[in-house]
Amino acid sequence: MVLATMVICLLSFMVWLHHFFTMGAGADVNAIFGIASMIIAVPTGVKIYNWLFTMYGGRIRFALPMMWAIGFMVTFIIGGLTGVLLAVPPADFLLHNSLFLIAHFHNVIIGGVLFGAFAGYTYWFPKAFGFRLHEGLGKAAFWFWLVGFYVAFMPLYVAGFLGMTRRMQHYDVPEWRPWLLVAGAGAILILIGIIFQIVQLAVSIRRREELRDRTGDPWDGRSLEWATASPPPVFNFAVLPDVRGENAYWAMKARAKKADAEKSETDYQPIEMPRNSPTGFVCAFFATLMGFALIWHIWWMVIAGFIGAFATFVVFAWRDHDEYEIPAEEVARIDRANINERRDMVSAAGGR
Amino acid sequence: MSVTIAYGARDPHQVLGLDDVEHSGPASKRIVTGFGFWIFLLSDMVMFSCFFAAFAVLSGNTAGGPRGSEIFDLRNVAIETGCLLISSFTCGMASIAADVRNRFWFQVAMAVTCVLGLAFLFIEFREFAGLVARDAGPSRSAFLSAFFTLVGCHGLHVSAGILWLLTMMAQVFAKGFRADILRRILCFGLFWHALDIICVAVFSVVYLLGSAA
Repeated sequence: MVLATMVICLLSFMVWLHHFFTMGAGADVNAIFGIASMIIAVPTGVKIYNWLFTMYGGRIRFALPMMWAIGFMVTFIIGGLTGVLLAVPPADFLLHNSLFLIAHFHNVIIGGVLFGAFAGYTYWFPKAFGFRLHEGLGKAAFWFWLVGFYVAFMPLYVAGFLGMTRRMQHYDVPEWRPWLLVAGAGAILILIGIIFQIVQLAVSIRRREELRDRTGDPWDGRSLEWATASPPPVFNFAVLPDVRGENAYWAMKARAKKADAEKSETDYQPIEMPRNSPTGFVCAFFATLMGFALIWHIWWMVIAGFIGAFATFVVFAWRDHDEYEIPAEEVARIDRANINERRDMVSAAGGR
Repeated sequence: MSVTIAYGARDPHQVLGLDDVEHSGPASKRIVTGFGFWIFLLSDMVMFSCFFAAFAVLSGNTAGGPRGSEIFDLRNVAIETGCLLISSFTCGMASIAADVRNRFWFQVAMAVTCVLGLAFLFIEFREFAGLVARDAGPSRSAFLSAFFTLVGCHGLHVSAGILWLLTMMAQVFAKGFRADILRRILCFGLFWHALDIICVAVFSVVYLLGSAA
């Protein structure tokens, strides 16, 4: 996965000319950049298989984040394939600046960036805010988004083949009309999906008590962030977790189950925390002032901004007490409360 | 460490429950702070590398204006670089004084470092003023834009370093060698020596190669 990402990183610096195949750089240049663009599909394919293999052999639950993730993969693959088509220079002479291109990059951006971001938003929302997003409204939003996306953008591929270029202020080709009407209907479906997302957020905030994530582990997760409460306490972990491989939290749970929650007392220690400070914000304010003044050559304001930022920095550095200590009893109290929530959940579920 | 790696390779999903592996907990604050500052310095080096690369590409693009060999005064620059090299030595002396908790020699070494840094800045400022006066300012050619950006950025770093130096002198004067202040002195030393390395690169790449061209 890391190797594939780095290869894409490197290759992506060598493909920029695929925006200008029709510029007239000549067959040699176009061929080199066309091949470089197509080669990107290889490490991307590695990534796709990687994602698929994380599901292979597992027990897949179609919770909201998983739905967004699968929607992301399918849509992104289609966008990538049409990208390979566009990377063929002779084909690009036909498709350059057409709606085919528009459909391609929306396929990649919406499928590859937005759907992935929505998966992450749904997945980590409870960790950040302490309550889950409403599942039903989210599923409605997902289906409207997914169906709306395909209805809106697949016709644009056709319109592109029919010769429609991008950024048109009006058109007078009757053959394009049905495709554009379908695309418009798709856009309305997407709009409904967006409205469902806004409603989902509002409803989730209003019903946050019943959606509260009491255990800190709403998805039965594998990685460490789910080992602490939601939202995490200021010190994150009461005891520094002992990580010896991937899926550290999964291993902890497996071990705890094997030991059948043996009642060994955790040795809680007091935790040192940095004091909160507005220094970063205040410094940034003065630095912005200084930058603005430098652009407009307002020299007195440059000096004022600089002195303000430096003085803030010195005041920060002059503090005698920049840390405070959370006593061991307080750490133990917070951690035990969370552990008890988890125990209750396990026994309520019939002691998995 | 090797034990940990072997363990991870044998049981990547940690389901075997082999939990009797020795490990030594988190590093000390001095190590963590120093490591964080090294990362900052590396990012600074990345930025300077970009400026050096831009200068190397643009050094021939004089747009009919003066070339490097016509405007560089190597004697001046040698004195300037010498100042900074010696200041790196006195900065090292200040670190040693801080290690043995000797306030007097710490302040003396830091003061000498400060004077040498100011001398460097004075010579550089005089050079820049002279160039602008004879119509060889940053807007004259791509070569001079790259020159002023690279060398000026280093000069700005030295100026910020002198402010930091004075702050550290004041802190040691007011509060003594507290653990957090010693960590700051460590970071300041790293910063100052890094600036020296960049200065050596500026001297070689910009002035020596530029005068030869």
